[in-house]
Amino acid sequence: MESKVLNDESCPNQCDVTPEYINGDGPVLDCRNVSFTYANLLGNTVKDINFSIYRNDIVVACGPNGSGKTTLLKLFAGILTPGKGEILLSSKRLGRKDRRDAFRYMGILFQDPNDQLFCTHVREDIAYGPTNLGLGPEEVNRLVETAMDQVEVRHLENRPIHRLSHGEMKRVGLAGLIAMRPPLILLDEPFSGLDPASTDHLLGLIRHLNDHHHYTFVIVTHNINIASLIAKRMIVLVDGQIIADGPPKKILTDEQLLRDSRLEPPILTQLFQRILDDPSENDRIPVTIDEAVDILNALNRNKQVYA
Amino acid sequence: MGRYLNLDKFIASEQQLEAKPLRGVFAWDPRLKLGMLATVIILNIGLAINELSAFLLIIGFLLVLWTRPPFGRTLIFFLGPLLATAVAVAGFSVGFGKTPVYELGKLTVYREGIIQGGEVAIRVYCDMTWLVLTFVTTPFHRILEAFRWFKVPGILVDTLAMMYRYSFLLLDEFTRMHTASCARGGRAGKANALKTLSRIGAQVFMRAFDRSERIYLAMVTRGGERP
Repeated sequence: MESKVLNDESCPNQCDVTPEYINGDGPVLDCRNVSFTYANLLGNTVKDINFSIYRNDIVVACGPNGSGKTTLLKLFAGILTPGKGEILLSSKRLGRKDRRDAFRYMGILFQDPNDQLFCTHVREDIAYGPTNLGLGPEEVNRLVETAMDQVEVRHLENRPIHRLSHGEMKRVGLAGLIAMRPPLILLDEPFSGLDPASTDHLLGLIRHLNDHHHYTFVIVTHNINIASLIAKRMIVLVDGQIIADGPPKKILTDEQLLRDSRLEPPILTQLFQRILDDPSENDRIPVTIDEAVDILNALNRNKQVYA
Repeated sequence: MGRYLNLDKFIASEQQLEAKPLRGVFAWDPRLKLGMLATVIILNIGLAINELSAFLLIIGFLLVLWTRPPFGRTLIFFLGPLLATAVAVAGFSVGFGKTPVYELGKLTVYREGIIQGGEVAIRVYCDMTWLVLTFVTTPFHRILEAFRWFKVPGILVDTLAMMYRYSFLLLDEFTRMHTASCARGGRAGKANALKTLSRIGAQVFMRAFDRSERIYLAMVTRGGERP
């Protein structure tokens, strides 16, 4: 298979944590007719999931509680094995026996960072993954230090894990993944329990890793406001099925779809659906603050012309 | 932390330990400290020479005074074996010997028994003093590094590391549940308090079991089960 490292010259820090995509331009994750049921439950927990994720994408999976978001992430990570269908990570089929190798193609950040970080100290935990990749001590050290600088946890390197705050734990968990340089990073509710400053920092970090290092992300959240800030593509899951898949603008402005999915449109979208003369024109409803500012400026200009 | 249960006061954090100035035994290499501890235990228990044990106890105690480790943690080491040692000393005093020194009802305290009990106390506290000098003055991750340097089996070191990492979390979980139970009258009456504590204990155990599964999966996803 063709091995390809994307150019990371654009990184302002010139840090080398860019992942290696082993299957060229092929999908990073390919999901074919995947269904899964927990042994103690009736019915399918996820049903007939079909989609592909390509490199450099940020896919946000939204849905109400119990819709199967975390189960889907566990299937992608090889923690669960689909009852039906197949999952391919970097074109490699993820079977029951291959789950031990899944860590070479993806990294997963669990919702509770206390599950994620199991070593005694920060540095030791970040080094855990690269060491398991069979890298030499010098390369492991380099990756650990670069990852710590990336997520700004260098000052915590000798701190015991149990003395970290929730936000710090999330950052250290992400550093542990970056140090492994997997092309695909799966984040399970990464913003839960974070204060606004920590949320902002984590968002900036994800954008940096995506823009400058071409990481591909699948983020599970039910916070639609945060989804609107980061997503390049959105998936809405309800009762284990994908009911919508597309660009964030299309999904976030479809109020009916979101209400049917027991989700709320972002505050900005709700506001403009009330302000604009014809709220059915979804193209005119903003999803980001920049779009909202443009629309408000245009409205203001029109008002001045009529005056 | 709960009003009634605040073990954190006694377990000074490693942050504080790291922040201590490099004074006395704090500055010594953890490998040296572990080596000395092993030697002291061998001499104290293996050779079992009373004068030597007393000498090691005095040296250790002087080093503790010189080093001034965190008081709370040091106290735990000294109070921990106090009851068991007292029972042993009392047992020896009334159970062994020929020369009576005191009559306490039907019990007779013998001189030889007191001496034997004293020897036990000296041995116990000699070890405890050197344990303080090793474990209270060294961050735990540096002790683990020293264990690895001494080629202690990896599985043992990893088990110790996991126990250390999650003991704090379990204690935190216990304390949170205890505080919540207090807020709902869980300590009203001794029998009720005992029932509540046992329920919380069982809950912590069950949650630890669940968590162990999740930690295992987290390990697998980071290559911890690679062939």
